[in-house]
Amino acid sequence: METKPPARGFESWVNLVAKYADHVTWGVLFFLMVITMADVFLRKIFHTSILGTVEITELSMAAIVFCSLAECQVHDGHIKVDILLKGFSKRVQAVFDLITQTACFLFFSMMTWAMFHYAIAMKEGGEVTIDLSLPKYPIVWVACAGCALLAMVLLCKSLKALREVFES
Amino acid sequence: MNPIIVGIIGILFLFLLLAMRMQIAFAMALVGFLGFIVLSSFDSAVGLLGILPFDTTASYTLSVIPLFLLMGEFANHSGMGSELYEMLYKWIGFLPGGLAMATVGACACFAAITGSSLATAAMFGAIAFPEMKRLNYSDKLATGCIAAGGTLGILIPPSSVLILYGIITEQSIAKLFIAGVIPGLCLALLFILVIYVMTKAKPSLGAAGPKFSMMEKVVSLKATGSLLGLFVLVIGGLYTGWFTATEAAGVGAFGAFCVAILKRRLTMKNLLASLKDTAGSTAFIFAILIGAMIFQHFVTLTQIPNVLVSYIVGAGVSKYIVISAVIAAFMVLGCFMEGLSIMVLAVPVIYPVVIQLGFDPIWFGIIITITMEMSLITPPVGVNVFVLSGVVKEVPMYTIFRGILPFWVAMIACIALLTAFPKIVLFLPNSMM
Repeated sequence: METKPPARGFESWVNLVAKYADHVTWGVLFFLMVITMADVFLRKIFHTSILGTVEITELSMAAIVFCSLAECQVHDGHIKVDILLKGFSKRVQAVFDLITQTACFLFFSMMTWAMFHYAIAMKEGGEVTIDLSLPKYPIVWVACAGCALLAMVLLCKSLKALREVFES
Repeated sequence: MNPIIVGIIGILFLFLLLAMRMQIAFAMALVGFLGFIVLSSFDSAVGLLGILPFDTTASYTLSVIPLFLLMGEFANHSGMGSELYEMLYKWIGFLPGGLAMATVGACACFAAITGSSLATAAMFGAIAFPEMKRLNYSDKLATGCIAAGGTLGILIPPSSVLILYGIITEQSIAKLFIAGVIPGLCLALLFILVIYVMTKAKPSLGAAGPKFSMMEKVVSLKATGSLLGLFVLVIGGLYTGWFTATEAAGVGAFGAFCVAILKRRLTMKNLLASLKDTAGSTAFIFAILIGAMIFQHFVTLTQIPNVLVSYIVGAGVSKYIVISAVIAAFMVLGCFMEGLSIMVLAVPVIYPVVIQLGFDPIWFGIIITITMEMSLITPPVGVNVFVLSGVVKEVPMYTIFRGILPFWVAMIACIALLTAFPKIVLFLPNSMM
């Protein structure tokens, strides 16, 4: 059976950060479940509710998604159609991976840059949530960092594909 | 350049990237972004890239996805599916083909908690297959009923496919969930009918299991009561309007968490595994959603949906021929792509046509979901079959695909039935409070 070589240097650091970011998602997920349940319970039984549940949920959702994107990519969890390339040699497959993963790296670098500017605009505009007046920009920073991390994982994947092109 | 030509080039480029093994979510986002640059401007495309991903994910409504996923993972990791199977095994296992029928029934019940076809197929591959093997069931019937039964996960609520359909088409998620109940049960009954007919024609395919006393049967009900109670609370709450979809998802996840603790099945390891798997599924579903939203902005600019509507409606073809062609196209796509991706890719283009022809959007969501179910078991990319063959290693994939064929025909029959009588789908959502 073919075994995956262990990650080295830069890649192992990126994977470690992605793993810890994913742990943040776990915590926020659990918090989301508890706060949703508590809000429903209070509303249905005591006719009161937790102030700002909707906006807390919205901000939590952004954290949940963007903190887990990179770890999902580390484990190749994002869906792709790989049946068409299976018939080609490993080298050809690596060439295609090099092209696609580099394109994805560039795209997510661009998205990071775009979100960075969105966060700055939000900070300068003083945008806050309605009920709790929480500033929104820190969560956009988190989303931006999640995108940057995903870009780093994609860079590692394309470097790995480049190695395979020359080694196979 | 003509927007329609840009649109066609964009769609072809998307298929090229998919063939080159680019992740579906990333390919949609990249093509959408590049197309937006061509049809609008670089600055507005970058603006879209900064705002849209954050605004799409920071949504109260969409919190139903991770919460329902979490509910399913708690049920999955604490092994609740085995209790369902044992209960049905004791009640109907004595019939010819009874174990296969019990498997389909347990799949339907488990799907009602997990909403995941793959988890359902994997779980019953591990639980039900050895039992059927012990009673000399044919490999074709044993694996076919598990792979097909597993697909019920995306039709019977909660279903992530229906949630995504609701978001893309701006339909009520609660109504879509309720609409999935009767067709899900219909399909489960059709699967059971298939097993009955097969074992009646050839009894050696599935021998009858042992008989159990009434006391044993009643005791088995007790073990599954909490799980079925949770389903009734979540779906009943939605149907009566007591819960919104998000509230139902929160209550469902917390309920499954409590049930798992009370049954002493939720170890720290299981809890972390549930959170980890939920995070993974949430990540890939939202990546697809973000990609789809960027792609949808581009598709809207190309005006392809409008042109398609005026062309097809103007052609004066029977609407049933059009819907058959749509279903056939989805089936063909389903041979190569995963259902969720087909949904987000094709629905924005084809949905305006279907609605313009006078079909109900809720009905169309259910029909498309059944088509997605078929894609899970259609060769060469039948994901459920891949998962099952990973669990049941001794049966060749070819045998599993052959075993699925009668169930696949049952799915076609179900689509025909629901098309002839749309009220089967629409009765419950239309009577919602």
